[in-house]
Amino acid sequence: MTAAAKVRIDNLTMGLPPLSVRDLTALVARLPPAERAALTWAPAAIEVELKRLREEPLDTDLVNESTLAIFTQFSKAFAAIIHALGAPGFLAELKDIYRSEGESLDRFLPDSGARRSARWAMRAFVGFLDAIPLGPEIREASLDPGLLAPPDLAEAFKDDAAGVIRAVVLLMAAVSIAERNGDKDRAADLADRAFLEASRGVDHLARLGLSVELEAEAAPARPGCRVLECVEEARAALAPEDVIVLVQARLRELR
Amino acid sequence: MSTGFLVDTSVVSWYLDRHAKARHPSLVNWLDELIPREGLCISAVSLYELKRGVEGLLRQGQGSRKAARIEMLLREATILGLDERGFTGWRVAADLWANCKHHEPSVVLSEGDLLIVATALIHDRQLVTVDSNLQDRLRSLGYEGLLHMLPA
Repeated sequence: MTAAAKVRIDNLTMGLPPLSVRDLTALVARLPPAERAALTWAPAAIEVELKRLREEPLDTDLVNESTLAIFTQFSKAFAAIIHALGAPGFLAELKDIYRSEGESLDRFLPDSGARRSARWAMRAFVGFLDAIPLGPEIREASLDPGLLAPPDLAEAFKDDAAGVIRAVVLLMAAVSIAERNGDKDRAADLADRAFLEASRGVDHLARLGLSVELEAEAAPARPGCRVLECVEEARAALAPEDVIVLVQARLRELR
Repeated sequence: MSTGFLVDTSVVSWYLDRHAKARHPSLVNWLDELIPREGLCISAVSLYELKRGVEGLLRQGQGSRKAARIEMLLREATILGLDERGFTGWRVAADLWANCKHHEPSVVLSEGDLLIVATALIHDRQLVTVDSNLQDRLRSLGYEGLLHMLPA
């Protein structure tokens, strides 16, 4: 991995969001009173961005803006939580939170394709947590307010390398819809978008030299069963004219 | 002896058609039998072509759902390339191109088809295609054994 690639990845690891405001609130509640008081603003600030993701047109600019805003808030909260709780098993606990939130989302999403998307994005994020160098230097960096918002952070969050982080923010918004028993189609749209972002992020990180191994899923009874399920889900989503687009995209000549 | 099958891009596209079971029942039945056993094995060229299709859908403003479904299928498929074994596949592709060019009469394969055929050759897999022109051209080159003929 090049030094530049390491800086880009380190920039992404200074704040690790739990998936819901409820989880963040629960984490903050475990802090000593002084730290807790200092973070009472955090859930509300994050909820403002999640509301945008639930309600506004879901385009690239919105996803980038909300990711940056949420990440910045979580960075501050994460620094205080790591500092106060400091438990070596904290990240493992965080993974349990992600899994639990993922299961709730799984129960809420309206179709198997969206559920598969959400699970894949979640597995990618857990794999990302396993792959990143969350050593003491990163945690120290997260305690330095000067490092929380480097001038190029906004650019860093538009980068393909940040796809996994954007995916988690999109999943947070989907979870927040599930908590409200809200619009299932919007939650599915967020889950699919999260998968595409995570997928792009994993590929890009591999090019930077960081291999993200997805958490293993239970093996199907026969090796290709999942492929058949994916085919059925694709058929349900694609209109006949979409298949024409696929056919027209075939490679004819290289020059 | 062939070690399995390589499914070409046009077969994947047909298979993804929501009316595939009615329009191409023998193809669908055969793949429905094959895939649970062996998975779906495609060329890196097909990956590239289908990803181009995904980008086409996204740029038409088709939303994330369709792109996500195809991307997920590609993540579950087995992708074979030409780089393995010291890039031998590219040498095989160049030989195939030369065979086409110097055949009497000359045979024209699109670059995509040529690279997919080379992938099948280098990985010792039978090519599953519904492109009758490609089938005819491969037969004229003497590659009939490479083709897997689907039941009528």
